[in-house]
Amino acid sequence: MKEEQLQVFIEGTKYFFSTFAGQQVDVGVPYLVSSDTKVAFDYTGIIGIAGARKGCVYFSAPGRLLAKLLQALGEEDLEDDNLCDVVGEVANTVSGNARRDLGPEFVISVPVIVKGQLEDIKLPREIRSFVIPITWGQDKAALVICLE
Amino acid sequence: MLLHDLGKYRGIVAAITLFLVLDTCVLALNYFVSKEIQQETESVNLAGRQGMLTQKLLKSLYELQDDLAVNLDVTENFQEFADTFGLFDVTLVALKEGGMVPVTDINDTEMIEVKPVNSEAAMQSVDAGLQLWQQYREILGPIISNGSKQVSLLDIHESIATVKETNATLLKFMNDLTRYMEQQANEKTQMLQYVEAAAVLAAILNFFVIMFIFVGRLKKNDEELELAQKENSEILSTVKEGLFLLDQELIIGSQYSRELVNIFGREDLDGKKLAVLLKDMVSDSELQLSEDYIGLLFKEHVNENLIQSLNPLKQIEVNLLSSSGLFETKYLSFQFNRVRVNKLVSHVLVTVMDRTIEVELERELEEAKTKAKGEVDSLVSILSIEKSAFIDFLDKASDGINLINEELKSSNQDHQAYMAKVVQFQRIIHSIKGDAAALEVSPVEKKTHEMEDVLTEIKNSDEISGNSFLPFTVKLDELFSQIGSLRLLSEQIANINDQHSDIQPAATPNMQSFSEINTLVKRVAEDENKMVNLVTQGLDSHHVPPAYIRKVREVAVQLVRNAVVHGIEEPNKRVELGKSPQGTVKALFQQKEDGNYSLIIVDDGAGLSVNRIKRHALKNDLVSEQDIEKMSNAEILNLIFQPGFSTASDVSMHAGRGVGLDVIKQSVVEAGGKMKLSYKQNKGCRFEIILPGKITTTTKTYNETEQNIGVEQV
Amino acid sequence: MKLLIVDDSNIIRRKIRRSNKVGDLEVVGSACNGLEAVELVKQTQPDLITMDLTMPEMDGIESIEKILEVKPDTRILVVSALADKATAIRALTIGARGFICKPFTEDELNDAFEQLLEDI
Repeated sequence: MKEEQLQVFIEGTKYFFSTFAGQQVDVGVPYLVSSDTKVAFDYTGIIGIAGARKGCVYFSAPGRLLAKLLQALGEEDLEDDNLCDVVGEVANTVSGNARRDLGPEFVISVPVIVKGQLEDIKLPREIRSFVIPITWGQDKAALVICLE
Repeated sequence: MLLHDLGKYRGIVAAITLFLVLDTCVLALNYFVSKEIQQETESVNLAGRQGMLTQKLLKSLYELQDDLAVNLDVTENFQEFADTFGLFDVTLVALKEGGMVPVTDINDTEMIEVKPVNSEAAMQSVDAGLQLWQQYREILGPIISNGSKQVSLLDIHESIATVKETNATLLKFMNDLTRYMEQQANEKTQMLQYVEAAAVLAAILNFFVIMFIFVGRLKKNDEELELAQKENSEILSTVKEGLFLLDQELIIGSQYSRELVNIFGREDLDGKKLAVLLKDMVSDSELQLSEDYIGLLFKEHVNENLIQSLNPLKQIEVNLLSSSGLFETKYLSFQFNRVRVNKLVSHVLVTVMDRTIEVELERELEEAKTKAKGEVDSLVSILSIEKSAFIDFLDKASDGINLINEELKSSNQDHQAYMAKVVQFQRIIHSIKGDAAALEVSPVEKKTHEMEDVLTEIKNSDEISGNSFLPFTVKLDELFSQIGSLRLLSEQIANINDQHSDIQPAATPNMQSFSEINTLVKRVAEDENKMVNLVTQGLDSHHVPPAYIRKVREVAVQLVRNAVVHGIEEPNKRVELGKSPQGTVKALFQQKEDGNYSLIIVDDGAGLSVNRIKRHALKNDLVSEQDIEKMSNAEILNLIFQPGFSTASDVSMHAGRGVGLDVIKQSVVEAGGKMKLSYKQNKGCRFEIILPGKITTTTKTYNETEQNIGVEQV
Repeated sequence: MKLLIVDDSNIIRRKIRRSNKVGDLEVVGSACNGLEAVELVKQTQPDLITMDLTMPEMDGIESIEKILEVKPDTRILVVSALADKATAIRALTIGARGFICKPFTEDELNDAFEQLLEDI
């Protein structure tokens, strides 16, 4: 896993918060987890990656953070659907950023939104995921990058 | 079109032709017979008219008689009489012999053709009529030929007498004739009806023949077709390849195999253009190339077998999105073959094969080869290292990595905390590097060296943030993988060794725990362009208690390496100083009388220089200039045990990271031991490590404990 | 059967000449560029041509067009590197009959000639 590639996903996340929510996130110290460990909060937006590298990248956040994010975006309806939408938006921005910066040898999907645990995602056992802790205000979220 | 070209339609065409012929015949018959019946009807009418004419003749004679009696002009009635006679005569002759008869009266120019009567009874009536009419001709003929001027009452009287006498008979003959002819016409009409009925019957029969035989046959054909289609669809649903036909417009045919749907994950392929199927899988230029290639197959002049190498879709990698949002990579192989109908290319048969499994196997094989090649180096070193030492190394490295990862996870977000982490990581990584170097596990040594570079970079940056650690984490991941594959490799070797236990090296395995120090010294000396002789004593399992083996080895490795790198001078420098060009490093281990163990590492190198230590401490911001002025020599010397201290003038792979002594200190303190350092300028340096005789702890952690170090200048 | 070899590489020309199948063919000439090839076609009226696509003076595509104007029943075998599939496909579209990719083995070349001469 190349550092620059990871950085692209991190930048995508930062870009979303700074541009749409007008408030920077703090990017924590990245660490590793085995691929069977899923770092999941309440809502997760997953994008699939193929081509030069295969796997997935997901942004997972607690409902509280997403609700605040919605408010920051000027949205008053904080129902479930909207929380899903906004986590999807973050993933979408990350996906868009990656598509622009990683070049054509990466194939990047549109996001899929998952609520709750991420049991259905099967990742190769021998690889580890990079967890990038994200702090926004008082709330914590995570960007997880798992690529072969 | 010839009949035999019609194939299975021959029967039905024959039946329909028969029907048409039959119909035409009946129509023709109908036409001719009707025409005949019409003629006969006309003849019947004429015959009927003859009866009427007999009466009219008599009547005209009476009128003529009346005219003559009162002496009136007879012209009109005479003419009437003559005409009637003439018409009867002409008609009767025509009925006997055939001929033309005026339609209304004798002066009429419109004629109808009359055929001679042909039935026995009618002929008798005509003959009888003619015989009787002969009298009329004899009597009335001369009167008529004399003309109206010559006619006399007498003649008429006579005529009337004759006519009156025979008139009824003649009428009867004519009526008979009419009846017979009517009868004949009726018979013909009836015959026509029979024929028509027969024809209709034949047509109905024909229809039933068509219905039962040919419909039956068609049904059978349909069943066969259905069966063929069923077989067809069965084949298409079970065949392992994606099959479909393309026409000249590159449109996908209506029938395609089930597998095609599986491969492309979509059902709606019927009638779509090939481009629709491929557009998300290949680039526009590849798509264009593929279309051009298929176009070639429709060109008769091109040899199909001689263009296969140009197939742009021979093997393509496609990424299809599955429902879970993850991409599924497939390797597809497209094959194109001409389909000829009547010797002309009508379609191209496309076979799509999913070669993912084969390709992945190939790839794995390739990766395995590359990996195996890379592992050979490691393998060589592993084979020469004692297994337990290697496992120890791996365990220690894994522990180190896990500890680092846990620390990464629990990071606080401030510069100071980050800085502390960097220092901690440096120590751990350096220790792993030292072991790797000692064991000559060069990939790990190289990786940890890179990690030290990264950590130095982080440390030197003005502002450390969480993201600063990203390159380090990336390398940590790589190290993780390295250690993982080395462990796998060592397990594999262990298996081989178990299987061939008789050929296990007989040489004292316990000695090997320390023999790596020898190799290390040789290698480091070579890299540093120094000549070093290592003397060891007591560094074997007879002397070192098992619980201390790892610790002693770890400390000895670091100190011996430090001695070579920092202590021993380059040969010409040594000669200048009046020493032998080859330096000596001694490593001695023994149990002392008080029961404690002692490890002594002595070199005959440059010793330590307080001034140099001062300069470096200042340079690396370990202490402030004011503080250092107040420090004693011993305190200054103690700085070399500070994290981040470096005394080698340039950073090489073997030293200069400034964490070596720090690690040793930690390790010794952790075991409840002590460390003594003595040196003499240009004469050398001596480290003594005292480990307690009563072994208390063998933890593998890297936690800091209090200092327990003594330094003395000899 | 008359064969004309068009290739700017001496090595390829010699390799084609040496092929077994070529033993049965009468090599009526070899050209190293398109202009020469068209001239030789006029003079020698070959049945078969092996054709390189990247040559000086006149490229393969143009040469094929000109040759087929001169002698439309000429069977042209394109001998080219796979790197330029698009040009090869273009050559076949305008009238070449077959393609073999450089570098080729003698067997491959023999097979190709056999295929091309199948229906003569």
